[in-house]
Amino acid sequence: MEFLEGLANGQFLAILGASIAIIFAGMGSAKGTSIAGQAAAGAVSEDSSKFGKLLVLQLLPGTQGLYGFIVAFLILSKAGLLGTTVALTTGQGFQLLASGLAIGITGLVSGVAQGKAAAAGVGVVAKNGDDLGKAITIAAIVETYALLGLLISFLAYNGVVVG
Amino acid sequence: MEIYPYAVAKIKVRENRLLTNENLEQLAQEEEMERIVSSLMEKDYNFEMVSRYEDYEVVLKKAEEDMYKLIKEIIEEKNIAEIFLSKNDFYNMKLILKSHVEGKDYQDKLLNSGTVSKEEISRIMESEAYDRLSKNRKQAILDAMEAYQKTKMPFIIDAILDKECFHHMKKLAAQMKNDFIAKYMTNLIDITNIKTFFRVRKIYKDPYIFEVSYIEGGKITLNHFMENLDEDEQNLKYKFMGFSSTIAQAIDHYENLDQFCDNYIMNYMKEAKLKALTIEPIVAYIYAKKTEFKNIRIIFSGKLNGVSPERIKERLRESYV
Repeated sequence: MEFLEGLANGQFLAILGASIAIIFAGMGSAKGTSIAGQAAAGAVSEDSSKFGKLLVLQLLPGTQGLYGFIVAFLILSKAGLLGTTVALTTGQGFQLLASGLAIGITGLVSGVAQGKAAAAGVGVVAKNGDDLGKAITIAAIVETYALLGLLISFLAYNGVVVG
Repeated sequence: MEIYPYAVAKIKVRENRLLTNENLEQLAQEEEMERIVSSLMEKDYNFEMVSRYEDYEVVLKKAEEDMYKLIKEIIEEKNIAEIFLSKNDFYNMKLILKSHVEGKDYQDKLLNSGTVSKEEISRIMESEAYDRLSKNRKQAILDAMEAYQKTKMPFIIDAILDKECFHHMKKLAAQMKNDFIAKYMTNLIDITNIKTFFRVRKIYKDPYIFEVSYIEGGKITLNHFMENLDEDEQNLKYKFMGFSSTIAQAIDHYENLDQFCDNYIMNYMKEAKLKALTIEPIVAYIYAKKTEFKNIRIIFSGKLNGVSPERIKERLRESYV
């Protein structure tokens, strides 16, 4: 009984929402930067002068994890876990959890996808270093969808009234 | 689908060091061997290991070994190198068998970069210890020798071992479950059959030779080839859709048949340029390097034998870049 009550606890649900935001978005970034990083390492092993340019491409899929972290921080803050204690209802807890889902899932998928686009961009830069701008632009378009996820998470978070 | 970001990016950088069509034409035009060698050294061909231009094969063999070593280092998929290397094994086996029946020496002509070393294959063939080879290879050798004893025609050794070679390559390609590689094998078999088809029409003029040499696994059936063995030249290009341009070229310049067939496969390989992370660019790079070795051989043998630059250029294969 106590276990079920614990599951319905508003703060527990808010922590779950924050965790989903950072875990999934972080997984997307970890996978994405790994793919782009492997490609960059392959190119640098043949031409070390391209390291600086390729580092930019590897960093691109890293932003999803950052967005997940921002949303998780905001949720924890609103749930009163980082400062003044706030009494959260089960409903409010669920609302905060749902707000974390948007960036969590879009961050996971877009992070991996952006990693692949950035790795393909590494191939472009490997062939011609002057095409770095084009490679970044192509990979950055995937970022749009992570940003939309962040925006919805933020709007939903803002809409949750607590206290 | 499995992705290979490290390997593909490494290969993309290496593609920059491949010889372009313009580079090849310049080398063919060049009059001084020293300048040809110096240009090739800029592309990682180590001519410092030889003292005479005539020893260019040593440099190319080393470059080929280095290329396969690189591929094995950067990619775990073993079948990819074996698809290309097993052809060298079968070349060595055919060479030794034919040299035996014709009483010729073969040691200098053996290729080094097979899946089995040339010393090992030589020992196996000399001692007839075929059990040390795979079951299918052993059977192909026994079949080839039996067929030769009956017909006394050396080409039958080539035909039977080539069939087994392509069968083995196709099996490896199927295991990789990759459409690009599967289609490469189908195209390679079709184009090999087309080459045999033209040779039978022009030289042997015996349908039996085509029937024995035909390799299964392509899109064009044996029946289709047999029906067209006596077809008028002008109609042929309409009979082999998908290969009409190669057929038309072969009709006009039969002497360059091998070149047109190689170019057909190279044009297919260029589709790999659109792939960014999967195995296709690596397969294409192996084929591109093999073609580059062939082009360097054409340039060197042409130059050393006093062939005109124009004639050398005519024989050059299409480059990947």
